Amino acid sequence: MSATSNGAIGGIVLGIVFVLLGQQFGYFDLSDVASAVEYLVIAMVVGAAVFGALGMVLGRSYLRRHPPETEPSSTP
Amino acid sequence: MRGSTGFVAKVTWNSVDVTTAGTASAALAVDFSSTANVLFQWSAATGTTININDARLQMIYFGAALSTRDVAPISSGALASNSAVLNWSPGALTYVLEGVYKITASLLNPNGSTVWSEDFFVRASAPYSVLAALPIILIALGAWELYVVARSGRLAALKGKEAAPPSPPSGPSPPAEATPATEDSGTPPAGGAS
Repeated sequence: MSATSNGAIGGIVLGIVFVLLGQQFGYFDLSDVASAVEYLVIAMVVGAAVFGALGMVLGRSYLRRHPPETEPSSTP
Repeated sequence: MRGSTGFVAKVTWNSVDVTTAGTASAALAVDFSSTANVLFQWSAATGTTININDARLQMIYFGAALSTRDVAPISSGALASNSAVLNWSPGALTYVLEGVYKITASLLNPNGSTVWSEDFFVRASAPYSVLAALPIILIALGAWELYVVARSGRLAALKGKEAAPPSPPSGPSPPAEATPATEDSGTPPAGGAS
């Protein structure tokens, strides 16, 4: 799994957590199923986009700092 | 307020008229760890009587009734006016939930059909704002996901290394000069082919 997809999946979960936690703290009203689903879908899409991009940046940053090791070439 | 023609009803929550809490921003502040005194009062149209058998409170979440409390049966006959008291508590949800919830108060006739209903909102707070089970679980889950995202670069690099085919065994070889690193992690490592 690439860093981008890893971040996007984490962003989807974080989007759901954000909406449910916002309701617990009184910022969202999730009484009606239509508005609740709307909140969740928007949060999941935004979370996937933001954290997917973040994962991509982190993945590239990690590879820059820790380049893949290449094995030494053998000599006869 | 919805009701049949001429029918008038009123509900108070700890002596506060629930019509003042018709929106989420005007929700009544309640304490889930204590019991609320809910008073239903109703009267039929002038010169008529009505038989109300059930006064009901439902807590709504995602369009479904999370909790239902009833006062039933209230009376055995039709009356011009009547009232009912319901001591409401969220029961097992006390230490699970907080936040804004819609409550539907309704009056039902003996057939079970709704004669009148009113929606209002309550805002429940947990001790120290987070000491309920659901917020704690959500905060822990969010922290874990943030940790996973923060490590996504390392995890992806490690999984890519595991997926790469193993290099064929080679004899002892002297250490070679380090080759310049590239960002293309998809290429397999250079093997020691003779």
